[in-house]
Amino acid sequence: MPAGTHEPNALPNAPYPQTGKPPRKMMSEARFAFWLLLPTIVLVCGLLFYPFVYSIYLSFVDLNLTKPWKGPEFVGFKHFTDILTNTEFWQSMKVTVYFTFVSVVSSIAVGLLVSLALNSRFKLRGLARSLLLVPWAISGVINGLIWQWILHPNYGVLNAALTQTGFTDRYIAWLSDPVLSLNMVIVADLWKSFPFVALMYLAALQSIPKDLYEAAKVDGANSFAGFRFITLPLLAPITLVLLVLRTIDSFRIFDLIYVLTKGGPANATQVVGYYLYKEGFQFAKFGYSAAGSYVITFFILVLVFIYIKKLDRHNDF
Amino acid sequence: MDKVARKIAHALLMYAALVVIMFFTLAPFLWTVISSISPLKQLISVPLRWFPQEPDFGNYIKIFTSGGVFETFRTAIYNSLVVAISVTSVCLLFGSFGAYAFARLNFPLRDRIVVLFLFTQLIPGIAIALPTYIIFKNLQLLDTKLALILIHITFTLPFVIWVMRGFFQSIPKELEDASLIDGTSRFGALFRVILPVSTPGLFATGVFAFLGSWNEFGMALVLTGSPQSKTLPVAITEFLGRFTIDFGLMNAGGVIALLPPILLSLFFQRYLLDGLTSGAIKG
Amino acid sequence: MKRKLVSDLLLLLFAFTLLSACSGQGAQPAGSVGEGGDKETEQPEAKPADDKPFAGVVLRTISGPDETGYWGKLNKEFEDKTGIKIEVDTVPYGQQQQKLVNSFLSGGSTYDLFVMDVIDLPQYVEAGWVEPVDQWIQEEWKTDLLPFAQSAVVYKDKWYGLPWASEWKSFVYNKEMLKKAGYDRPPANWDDFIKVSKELQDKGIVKYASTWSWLQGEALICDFVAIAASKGAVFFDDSGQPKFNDEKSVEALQMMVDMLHKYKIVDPASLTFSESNVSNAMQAGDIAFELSWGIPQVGLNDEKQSKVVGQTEVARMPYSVKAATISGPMAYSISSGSKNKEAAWEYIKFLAGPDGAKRAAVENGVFPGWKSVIGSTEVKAAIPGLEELLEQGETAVNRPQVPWYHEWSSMMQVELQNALTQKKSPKQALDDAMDKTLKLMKENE
Repeated sequence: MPAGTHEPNALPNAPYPQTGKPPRKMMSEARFAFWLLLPTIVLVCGLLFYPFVYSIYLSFVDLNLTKPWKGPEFVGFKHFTDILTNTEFWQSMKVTVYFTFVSVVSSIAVGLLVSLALNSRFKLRGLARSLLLVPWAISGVINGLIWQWILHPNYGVLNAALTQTGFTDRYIAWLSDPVLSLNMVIVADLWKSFPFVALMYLAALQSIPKDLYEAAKVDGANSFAGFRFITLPLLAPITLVLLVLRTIDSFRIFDLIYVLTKGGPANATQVVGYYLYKEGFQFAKFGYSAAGSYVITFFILVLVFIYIKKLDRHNDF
Repeated sequence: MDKVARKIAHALLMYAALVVIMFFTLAPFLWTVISSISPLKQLISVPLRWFPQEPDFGNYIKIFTSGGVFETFRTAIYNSLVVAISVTSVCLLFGSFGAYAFARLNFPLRDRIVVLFLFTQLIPGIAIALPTYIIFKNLQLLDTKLALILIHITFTLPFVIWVMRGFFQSIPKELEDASLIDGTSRFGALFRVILPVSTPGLFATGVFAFLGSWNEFGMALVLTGSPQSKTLPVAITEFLGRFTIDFGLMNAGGVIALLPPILLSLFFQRYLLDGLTSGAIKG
Repeated sequence: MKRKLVSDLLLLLFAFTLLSACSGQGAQPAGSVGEGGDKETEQPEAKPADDKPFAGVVLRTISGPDETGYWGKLNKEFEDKTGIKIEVDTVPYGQQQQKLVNSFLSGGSTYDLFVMDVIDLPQYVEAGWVEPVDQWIQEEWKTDLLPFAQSAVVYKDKWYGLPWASEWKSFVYNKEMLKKAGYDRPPANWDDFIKVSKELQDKGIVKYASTWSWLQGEALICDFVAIAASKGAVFFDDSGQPKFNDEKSVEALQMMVDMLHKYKIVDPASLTFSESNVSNAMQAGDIAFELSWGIPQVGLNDEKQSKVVGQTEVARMPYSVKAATISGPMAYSISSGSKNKEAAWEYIKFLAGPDGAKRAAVENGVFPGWKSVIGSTEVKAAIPGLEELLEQGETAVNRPQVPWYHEWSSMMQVELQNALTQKKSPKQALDDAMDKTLKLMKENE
């Protein structure tokens, strides 16, 4: 939510207002704040900040696991240059970028369409809206379990449905083909991710005042023009937020891949999150893996920065 | 006449779209439920028979009464509940403390710290997994629920503080000032004035925290080992590897794991939907 | 009304919050005495009785799932006998390596004992994670191990544990299906295998004649090593130089590709299947041939899970140059960070020494690595089809034993799948694998 990065500036940063509060028995605000924040600070420093610093250290060090007599050795930027020149890393980046692009775009497109459909008045709308929460609340691991079963090459319900309705004449091994498997993983991800997008858009749509459309109608605009010139611009801020959130999520996808494909076939679904997990935890190359994860974080930050630049400008009219 | 026809066509289109949406949303979930109560023989028959003639709850009975792996699975359910409930409670408590500090109190670097908190969410889990393991090893807390609770709290708190800060800011200051004048302490004001008014926000963030903890996989995989600390996501991946042929059983395990988050979010949906959106819309 | 309910709920929640927060806080220091305390009781208690010198010791071990409950039973027995308590972390095969490495990096004292796959041995030894046990090895044991089982416990002339399960893969066929197709014996060479497979499919007896564990994982390497060996290929020559892009290996990979795409006699789902998926397909009667670990007929003849009870037989895997299969022995070893190595050795001896191995073979169907055990009459009686299995076992080959095995294997899996998904020609895939192997060797010199 780096959208928050500029929110604090927008806040009224006034000193404590001119109420007639008696200052004597109150402890100072800074002190009270400190006590309130103490548990959080302890936990965040101990379990986030310290591991964070430690992992930075790791990314500049070779632990020499298989040569214990050498001991940890400072290697400078070697891990970073290694990873940036590694073809398997770039291959996994390619997979990740494709996954992220298709997953983000499709979830936002589908989410928008769904929200538009749910925005008009009809019976059971509340129920429909609630049911969108079902895929949203399910974990990545269970999502993997569900889709593994749906996509099962020999007993899967998708194959059964397609053959029984005559779309295909034989069962397809969805996850055995490199191209197909990546796209099926995206479908599984889409199922879980679009409801969140739809719910966000729905809320945004409902906050648009109806009289805007009335006024446009009076001016002779048709409903498409209303959508193009009223709805879309007003959805821009929430779209920015969604883009940022969805990009971060997709770029870091791991659970689903771990359960569904383990990166196969032929690395076709090996996203960068899984690649780094493999390097770190299976090959015990922790420094390399930590360095890689910061490279990725850097990529994400750049992407987020670009979104904000682009969309904020877009937003100004 | 033409207008009426168009209206009807529009409505039909609307409902058709709705049916498609709801089908895609619910079908995978429903199929999991149906599979979990179908006899295995039927699930692996080709062509597939879609509905069991009579539901077979044998898989559930097995999971809830048999020993061995199933006992481990039941312990995992219990572990998940303990971890998620503790995480939710502590996050709400410390989260509202922190959010109050950021929303109402003045102290140096306040706005910088809050942004810093947000950026902690960007720290890659994979990089800090090993350091975290080493810390808990030194604390003698490896393979305990407490370790998982602590790490989940740490991951969730910054987010909770961020969201609740938004809620607190939207509460008119006069409300609190009035009680401060009456001589209530700040703490009292937080508990008696601010928190009761922000119930919807509390519910929403509470559900977020619960789901986050209940569904978390990566850290649980690294930090747990024996049945005394394994949570459901870890147990499920083991289940998956173990019962590759018993699809009904596998799906029953899945249904048990996904039911609490779904029921919880449906129960609190009103707050959740408001909470989900109000924070982000403002951004 | 509603407001009231909401605020009541809120109060309740907060009461609970406070309570659990307090207990959460309280548990923090207590944790080292409470839950962590179990691990602290590693010191033997004040004065142990003479017959139980290790009474009160707690050993922590990590191993795969205990399907039959046999190991649990044994642990209990061991505790009664010695007073040593065994705590087990059960993890699926793929997660074990990760947990162990984590443990080693933080001092190696998380686990006292662990099950070590043959492919892990060189790395663990080079890194100093596994304890040598030569001092405890009895003289007569040194000549009693089957050669391939020995490779799982002995590295550079030192012992690092005892063989726990000494398995290889065996070729299994469904004789009823073959009979229906008009054959009374299994295919002996690969040409026959392809011919028979096609006929089985043409006659509608099976949809696909065989399924293999060719997913992107270790199982693919196992199958490839077996098939390549049956075509006469050798992965590394005696001087340690890789040569798996020679004609024979390419021919083997080409045949695998053809079986998938040209003859279509292998279920394409193989590319996502692990060993258990394959066993399941065989048990379900979906396929006529499989290559399976251990003693396949235990599962295949179990009425509860199998539809093909009494229909299957074990035979040599088809071959064109020499009979071959793949071995995957595992050892039970002691972590060099363990504080209770002697007690740990007691456990290993109990579990995997000749006597323990015999029990495991008879009661749990686990293959022993000891010649004396395999030759014993009890074991012969207990294992169905032992003769055929042993005949196959004699031809078993190991995977390369190098400290960088996991990296090599992972790279190799991808290149093999590149060929199997027809992204590259077999020759190209193996050439690329060769280049990467040479690079790996150089990095690890």
